[in-house]
Amino acid sequence: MAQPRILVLIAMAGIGLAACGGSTGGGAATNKPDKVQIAAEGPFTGDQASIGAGALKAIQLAVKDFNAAGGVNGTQVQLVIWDDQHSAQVAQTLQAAGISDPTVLGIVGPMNSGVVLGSVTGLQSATPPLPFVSESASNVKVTDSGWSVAHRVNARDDAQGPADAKFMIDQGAKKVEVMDAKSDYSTALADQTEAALKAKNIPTQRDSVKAGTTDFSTIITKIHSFNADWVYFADEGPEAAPFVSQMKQSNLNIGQNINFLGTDGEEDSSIITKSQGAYDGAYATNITADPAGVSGSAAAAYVTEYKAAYGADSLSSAGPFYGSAYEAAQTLLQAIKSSPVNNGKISRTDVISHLASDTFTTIFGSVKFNSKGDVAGGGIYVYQAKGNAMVVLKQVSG
Amino acid sequence: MEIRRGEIVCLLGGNASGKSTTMKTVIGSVRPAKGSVWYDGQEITNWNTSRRVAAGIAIVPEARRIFPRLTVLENLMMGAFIRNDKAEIDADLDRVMDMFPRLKERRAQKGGTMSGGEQQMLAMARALMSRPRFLCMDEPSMGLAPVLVEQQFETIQQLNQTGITIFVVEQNARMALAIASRGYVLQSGRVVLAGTAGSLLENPQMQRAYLGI
Amino acid sequence: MGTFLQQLINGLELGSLYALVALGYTLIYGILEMLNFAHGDVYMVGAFLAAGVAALLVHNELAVIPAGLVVGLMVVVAMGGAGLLGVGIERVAYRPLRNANRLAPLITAIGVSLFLESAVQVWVSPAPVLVPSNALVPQTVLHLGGLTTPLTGLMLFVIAIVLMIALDAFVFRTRFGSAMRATAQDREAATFMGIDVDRVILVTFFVASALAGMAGVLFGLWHATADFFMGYLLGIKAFTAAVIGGIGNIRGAMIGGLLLGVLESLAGGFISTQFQDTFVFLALITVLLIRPQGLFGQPLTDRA
Repeated sequence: MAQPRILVLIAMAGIGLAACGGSTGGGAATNKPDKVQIAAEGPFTGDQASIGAGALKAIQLAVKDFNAAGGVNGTQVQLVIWDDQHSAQVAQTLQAAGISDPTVLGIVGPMNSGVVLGSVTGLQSATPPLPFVSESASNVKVTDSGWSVAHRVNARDDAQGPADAKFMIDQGAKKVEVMDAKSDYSTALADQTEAALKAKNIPTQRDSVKAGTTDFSTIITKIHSFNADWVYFADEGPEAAPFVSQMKQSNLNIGQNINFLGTDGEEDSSIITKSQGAYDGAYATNITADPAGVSGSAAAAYVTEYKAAYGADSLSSAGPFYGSAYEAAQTLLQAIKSSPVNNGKISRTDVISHLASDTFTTIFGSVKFNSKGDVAGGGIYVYQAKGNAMVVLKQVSG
Repeated sequence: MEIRRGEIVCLLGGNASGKSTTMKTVIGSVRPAKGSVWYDGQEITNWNTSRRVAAGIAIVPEARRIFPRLTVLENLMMGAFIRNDKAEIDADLDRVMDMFPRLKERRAQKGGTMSGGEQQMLAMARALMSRPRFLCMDEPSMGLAPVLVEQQFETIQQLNQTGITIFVVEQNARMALAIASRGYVLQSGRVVLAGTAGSLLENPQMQRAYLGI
Repeated sequence: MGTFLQQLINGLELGSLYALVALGYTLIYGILEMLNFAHGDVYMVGAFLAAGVAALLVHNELAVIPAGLVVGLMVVVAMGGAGLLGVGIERVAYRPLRNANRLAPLITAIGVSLFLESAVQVWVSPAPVLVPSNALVPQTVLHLGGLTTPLTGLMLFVIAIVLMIALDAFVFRTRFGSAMRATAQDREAATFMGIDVDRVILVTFFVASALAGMAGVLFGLWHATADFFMGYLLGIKAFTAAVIGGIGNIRGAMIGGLLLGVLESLAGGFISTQFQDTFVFLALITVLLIRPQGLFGQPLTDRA
């Protein structure tokens, strides 16, 4: 009884091989692209290096893993690094090189909404257009403007702002100090949250800090006189530790006489140690999931791999987007791999259509972009600083 | 060009003839492209200025170059910067202030607030504070009223009598030759005439070009 | 009224930090008539040196050796290291350009500034690092009426004032200080006095940079953090303070720093933090319109 079965299997394998050979029209060699490049773009140096540096490491890891698994039909993907330093002008210069090179098939990034909005027309009007998958640009305009090149794996401001406001109200917020860090991302998000709070008649006081500010005593005095019971700070991150330390010095103790809700950059456990514990009990929402905070074996394996590659304590400087950056790179690479190869070339047009239609397998599970380029069901996650970690509380929505 | 101990030697010439450059080569703020500088039997071409000052060379620069926002006293102390003999410095301070009583009156005043004549005194007194044996004076008469110029040259002679060798660069050839024992005339960076003060005063070429005769 | 006084205290503490750094700008400008754009980053490096010493000697919020000794070492390493860094920058980046077009050293200075920021970011940390102040200085909060300040803030203010007085004495009461001022006023005439101008410039850079290093230590103990970008904004503010006070004038830099801190604090506290800098720079423009030479500067005609 066993013999015929084996025969059947061999026969099927033979058919499979024949079918494969037939579709490529003569040998595996033509199925192999000559050269495949993708770009990693973000603020890898400059004032926002704290979010960019970790994301870049994640992308490098994603490309390495992808190549180790065979690349694009045997061709190794080359990663070019575009350090836009959080500047749209710099981004345009860097992107120009990729636009003119047809073997650059896509970008992981840009990370900052302001950079996307300042450079996207160049990407869209290129022939063929150069697609990107951002891991962190959250401004609604990024995908609301009808650009076919625009994709992102993170959630949007209009999801985060109302969700943040609702979370604070549910926790009993009475008076909220709303702060932004004067960037396209942070101001837009703080505006969304403040509007949602005001719609529920919660009094707010608004303050801004400039990137690089290290003394917050003026604002803290204002928080005292306003009698706020919640502080909401939309920020990419670097200001949080000194800010909450100074709150504590001024007798505003998180979890006791004040509550704190931060955003993406503040979903970072290193803030707890860097604030000498002052951050303990603070909340932060993130437009992407933290691989270390979600369940799932793929995410856990990735965290292990990241630590093995960059050191046991590397997560403390990985920033908030080391998960979404890997995820974004996975989607782009898989779209490229699915695209047809003609005479050793892959067209960006095909990459764009595969980004639009395919479902991708990532460390966070299956991902599919909707018609705008947003991730269907991209969630907002609430974390809380407990002990020396940021612990996922729940997924929320407005 | 040579200057012997105890002499007053003047260097004459028109504008841009290289007089000031010569002087700066002596004090060391300009290095010669060719040639060498000797002092007291030693070659000092490669010495820096502070070493030359310590060896006894001092300068009263063109346009005085006093420190305008230092007091008179501080200006004088700068003259003695390379010295460490506190008691002697104080004695020299008294001595120059006796020599120029105006400076004593104005010791706490800022240098830049004084008149041109007073600044010239200060520049000279400042140079003396380093106890020079060889004093270079760049255009001491420039911008001074005639009566002050006269005083200035008297002072130069007095200093010479105390044993200081003096090298004076001047546009005012007549005045300079009156006190100098010898002189050199520069033209476009070259010595075109040299000799005793008397012979230069008699020289017809000199008379025509610089003495207005 | 209480809030006003509280913002005044906040402003004085921040202002004394500005003043310490502003002194460096003004000292170096006074001597070389050049803007040492990298000075804010020297302050940053000082803060990192202090953070490094602390990280080595503090584990689990406990100092390995007495806390006072750790703080002393932080001061020595940060001041010395920042001082030597300043001297090195002068020697490598500015001295070869001393007789060049005035724009050349300014551009080099911007280059040095970017280099220092990138170097610390790449080789040390792109994210802020901790200065474990809890283990080093008492975290006492002082109360007076309704007003509060952390002890470390008061410490910053007092030490800054003491250092400024000491610097003032050094520059105005010592022979070397006179030589510095003489060099600033007429560099060539200073050489005629036998002053070694190169040495005066090196000492000036050392003193200015060491003060910035000390500012870095004091900041670390006050706010428990250091990051590679911290010198950028502070440098601009300190430079503004120096200009308001009259660049090149030491007392002007002190007053300018304190004034700017208070101004910023009051503008942020009572008008808007969103337009805080707008008001600060409005103040700068107003001062410069009325007194182009700054509050304590020499009238420009005097420089001739």
